[in-house]
Amino acid sequence: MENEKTPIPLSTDECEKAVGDKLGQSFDLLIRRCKIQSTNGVFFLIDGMCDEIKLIQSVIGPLTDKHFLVEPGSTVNEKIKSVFYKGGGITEKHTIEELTADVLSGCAVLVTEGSGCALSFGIQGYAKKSISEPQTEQNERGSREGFTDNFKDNASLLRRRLRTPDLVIEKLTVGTLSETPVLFCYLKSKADKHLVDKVKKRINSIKLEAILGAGYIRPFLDKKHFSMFSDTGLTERPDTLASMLCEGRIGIITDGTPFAIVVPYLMADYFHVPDDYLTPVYYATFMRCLRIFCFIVAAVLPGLFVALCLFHPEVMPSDIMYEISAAENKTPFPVAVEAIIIHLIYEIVREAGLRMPVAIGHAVSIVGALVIGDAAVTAGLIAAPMLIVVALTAISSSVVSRLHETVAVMRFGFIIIGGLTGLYGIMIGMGLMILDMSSVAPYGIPFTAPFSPYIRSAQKDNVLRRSWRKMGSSAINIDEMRV
Amino acid sequence: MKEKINAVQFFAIIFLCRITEFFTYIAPRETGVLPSDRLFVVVFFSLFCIISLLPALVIAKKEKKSVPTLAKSASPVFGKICAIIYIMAFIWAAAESVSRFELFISTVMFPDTDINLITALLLFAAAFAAAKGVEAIGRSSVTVTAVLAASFVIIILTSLSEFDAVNFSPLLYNGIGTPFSDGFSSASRTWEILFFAVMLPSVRANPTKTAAAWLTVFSLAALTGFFVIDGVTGMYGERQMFKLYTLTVLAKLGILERFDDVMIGIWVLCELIKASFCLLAASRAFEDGFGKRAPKYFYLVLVGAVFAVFTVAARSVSKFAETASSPAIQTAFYLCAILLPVIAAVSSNAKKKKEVKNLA
Amino acid sequence: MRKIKYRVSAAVFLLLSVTVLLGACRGIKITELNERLIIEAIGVDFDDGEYIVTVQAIDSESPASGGDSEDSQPLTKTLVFTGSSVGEALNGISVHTGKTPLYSQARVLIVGFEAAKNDIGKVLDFFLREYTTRTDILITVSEKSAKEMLGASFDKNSIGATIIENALRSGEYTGRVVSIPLYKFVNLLLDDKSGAFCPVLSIQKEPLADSCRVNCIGTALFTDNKISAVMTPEQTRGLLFLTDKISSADIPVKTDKGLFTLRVVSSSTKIKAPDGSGGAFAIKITAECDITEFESARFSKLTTNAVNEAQLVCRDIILEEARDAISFSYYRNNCDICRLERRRWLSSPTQYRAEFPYDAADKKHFDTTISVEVKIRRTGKETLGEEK
Repeated sequence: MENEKTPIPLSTDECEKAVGDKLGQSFDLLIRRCKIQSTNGVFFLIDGMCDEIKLIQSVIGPLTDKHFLVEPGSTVNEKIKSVFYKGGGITEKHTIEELTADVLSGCAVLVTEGSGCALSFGIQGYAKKSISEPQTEQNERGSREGFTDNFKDNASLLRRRLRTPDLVIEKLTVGTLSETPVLFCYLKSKADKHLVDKVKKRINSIKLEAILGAGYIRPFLDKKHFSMFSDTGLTERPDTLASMLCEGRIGIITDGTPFAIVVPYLMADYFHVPDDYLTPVYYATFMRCLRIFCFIVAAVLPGLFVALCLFHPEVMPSDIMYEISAAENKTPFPVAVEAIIIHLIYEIVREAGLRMPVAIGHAVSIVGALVIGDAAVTAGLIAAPMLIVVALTAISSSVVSRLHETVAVMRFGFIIIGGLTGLYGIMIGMGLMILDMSSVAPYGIPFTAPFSPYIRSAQKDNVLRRSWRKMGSSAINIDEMRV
Repeated sequence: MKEKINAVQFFAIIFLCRITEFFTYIAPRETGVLPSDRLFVVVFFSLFCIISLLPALVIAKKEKKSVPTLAKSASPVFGKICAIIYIMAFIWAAAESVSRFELFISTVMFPDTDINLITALLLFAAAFAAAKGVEAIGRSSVTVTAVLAASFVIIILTSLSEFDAVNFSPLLYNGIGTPFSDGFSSASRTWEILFFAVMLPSVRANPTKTAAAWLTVFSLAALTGFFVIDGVTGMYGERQMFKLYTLTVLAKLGILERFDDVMIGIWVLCELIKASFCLLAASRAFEDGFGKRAPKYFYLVLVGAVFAVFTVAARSVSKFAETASSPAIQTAFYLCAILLPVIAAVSSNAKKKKEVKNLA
Repeated sequence: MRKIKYRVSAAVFLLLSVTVLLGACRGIKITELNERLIIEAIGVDFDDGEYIVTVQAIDSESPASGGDSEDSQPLTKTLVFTGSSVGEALNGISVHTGKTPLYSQARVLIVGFEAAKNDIGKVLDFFLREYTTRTDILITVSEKSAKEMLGASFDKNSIGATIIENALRSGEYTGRVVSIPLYKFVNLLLDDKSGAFCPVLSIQKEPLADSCRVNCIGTALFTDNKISAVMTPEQTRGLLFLTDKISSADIPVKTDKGLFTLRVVSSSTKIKAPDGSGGAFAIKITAECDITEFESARFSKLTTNAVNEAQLVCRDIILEEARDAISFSYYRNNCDICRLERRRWLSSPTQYRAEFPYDAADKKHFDTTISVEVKIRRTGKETLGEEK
């Protein structure tokens, strides 16, 4: 039975057999017998997950030292615990399941004859990536540290930024097979208790077999009905996560992913970057307005261009219209089809750039930029104005990269609707987009807050960013935005 | 627990609903309102609106219930009848609004196009929006109102350079009869008043203040709009069916010319909000009158009904979109706005007194 | 079971709606930009009961930026169509070119003199109803025919309509050309209490080149939708002062001290209606000028007296032009350019009702008194000296 707990046998032979059966004949399972004083002992560890140097120096060495003497009336385990208590990192396990879980986590586990329990030494030493600059959230003036794949390193990165006893980092285990550690982080004095309970409940209700990334958990924290906009956000930066925790939000760090999930995540957050808080107020405000504009451009510009060309040429100034007309005259495709083709090519190039090996990645940029762009225009397949539109769209999309997935799909929708019905269809589409945004309320907090409903106290860090003197006087809490 | 919206959101919704009518204001040609007399049209319009609003406001304040709920408390059958009447009224309001939109598109913008696609798209979008709930519509309305206000201000400001006060007319030169009848006619098409009868339990607001703010702001916006339209376009504008459209065609800002497409795009958004709120209000009327949740496909049924009314009435009734305020419709409006709430209140009170008497 | 039923009904509904809607798609008319004939200028003539419509359109096959060689193709092409109405004539565009006309880029509407003499309202009706035409398209009358004007050979690298439009807008600098958009012109035509007017252009050959240039020869006055008279350029300037449409104008002022060239930099005109019955309209013109040039016999210094004299002479010139304009247009040709009747109607409606039995033959003319004030504000880099 799955939930049945098998107690650790008193005999080391039986224990060895039980562990061997549990973990199968895995080549990396190392079972090493030893003698501690006159007592038989057996070490279980996974080759490659344990720090072997630490094992020899800090564990085996002291155990086999001539000064390691068990007092009369004491057991070997008690002696070991008293010796290693000073070093820390030793826990007692009483069941085979706990033993194997620790072995699989990279601990070295010692079972001594007749003890009926195992001692787990936390001397993990598996290969892991070092802390590096975040790949998806770069900035100019802020920290260059980003999350890594290891949850412990990530926890320490967070702790270094919030050195307060208020910071709670609870460890949950998710995934019936992967048993992935997931850290649940929040500030006790800031986060709403109901929100904490709700999110924790949702995580604990996940019934997947393997959790290999934060993306596996996100849908379970999201709302049930379909929407283009998610209730949750991702961040690769510990400073961003720390600032969001200070607003009463919850962070979820998943082992194996350098991204932390933030709950709840609002529309305004997509347009905020850490640099906003490190640059002058006027510049930060200007850049936020620019990002909002870029989002609209990235989503709507191609469709708008198609709509104007086909249905509303009178809006365009005459000179621009002549140029577009002359350019479109040379191409074989209708404007809408041309727009769809060129944007599909852009998405293909973008995807290829992500997936292709680095060594030939340069070839992609050459093919994409020069051949497709320049050659297509020279050959008369694509009009130059359309290429400018797609270039502007691509650059704008990169400005708000966190909304890339949403924008990429919406863009095609707008192109089709603009090509069929003109500006009116585009406006209906925008209306639907606004409605969709307005219908999302992650955990009772409207997604469009603090724009709508208008929350005055939150406006100091919405589009306009006020100086730290004014922002510091009263902190914003996400709970203020609850309806 | 039912979703609720705040006063600002409700104000934004009903303001947008009314402003779509303003976009498509067609002055009655047979009587001919002189430019300066539009001030009085707006005044009389506001007066008749206040009269129509009173029953719903009194019920909202005293009973804190919607009219169908009140009717249901008097009698389940009466509640159902009341709900059906309101549902038909909202379907009519949506159909009339959409047909005005269709008239505009087919006469001014796209006469060659089969308008059915755009209309169907709009109605399905409205059904989608209504299904999202009142909060989604409320929040979207605030955003759309902000955009509308900004564009309205830009159009007014960019048009002011062509303003000529000589284009106006003396006040009440042809007497007060025409402004009075035009104001009455406009008020009898103000189906937004029925929202007060049905939707107020979903609104966290003082209904009287909201109604006052709505009437005041809309009247000011309409007056400003008419003032600039008449001052800029003069007699030319009098000959145009859609005056605000004429003004937006003239507006320009630097190299950007012809804001009419932008304005119509915003109008489409307003139309979407209006249609969706009409569908939502119809659904609420059903729930309140019948005492059970509307089925999932209810919005699609309503959309079908709106489309049917729009198709049949717009095609077969002469000048439907232009007039749509025949004595029959005016009677129906005042029945829904005044008579039904009064009957519901009276019968509910009578039933309460009877119950108290029985208990005693 | 309910979920399956719901999904099936949703699928059926989608299928039906797609079938219906895609069927409706045949009604969608999508015209590519290169399938449109971009019209820059429209000319309408009327001859022998037939309308002759001349259209100047962009030739999208030619290089949009203009060619390098001398025999590069023209940017525009001129097409002529005839019909019993303007609309019928313009329908010929699609037949002959295979393209849908796009009127929204048309900058100017030229009405031939004969068509304007016949009834300009009939010509304009199409443009009022057609939804793509610009409401603020500039309207003008051609001295001869619109076809001749649009068919004239302008500079190869320019669009003829642009040259004509620039000529119409040149009034902003010269103060001798009225620039009136269509909607204002129609506003004046429809208003029975106002008089309509629009510029008259003619084509002249360039003295040193093969191309033609556009000249404004005056302003056409309309009564009952027909041309009744044409004002001279000087009278046009007076009209511009009276209607407060002067942006800039150079006025040569001859005085005893020398010839001044004064540039009007700002001007305002206030027309005050008389109170009660009788009385005259008081028209006050205030102009601010700069001295741009002073030609004197011995290159003498500018003095205060000279400047004052120039102001007075300039005032007299403007006064004379304004009087001439109002006399010619209002008193002699019944074209109420200052909209005096309307102003009377606005200021004293009761009095107006008594004064106007609305008979065109008995149109009452109001008296007018015009006063002009000219102020020279800048004399350039030179300082004012004292009279010796």
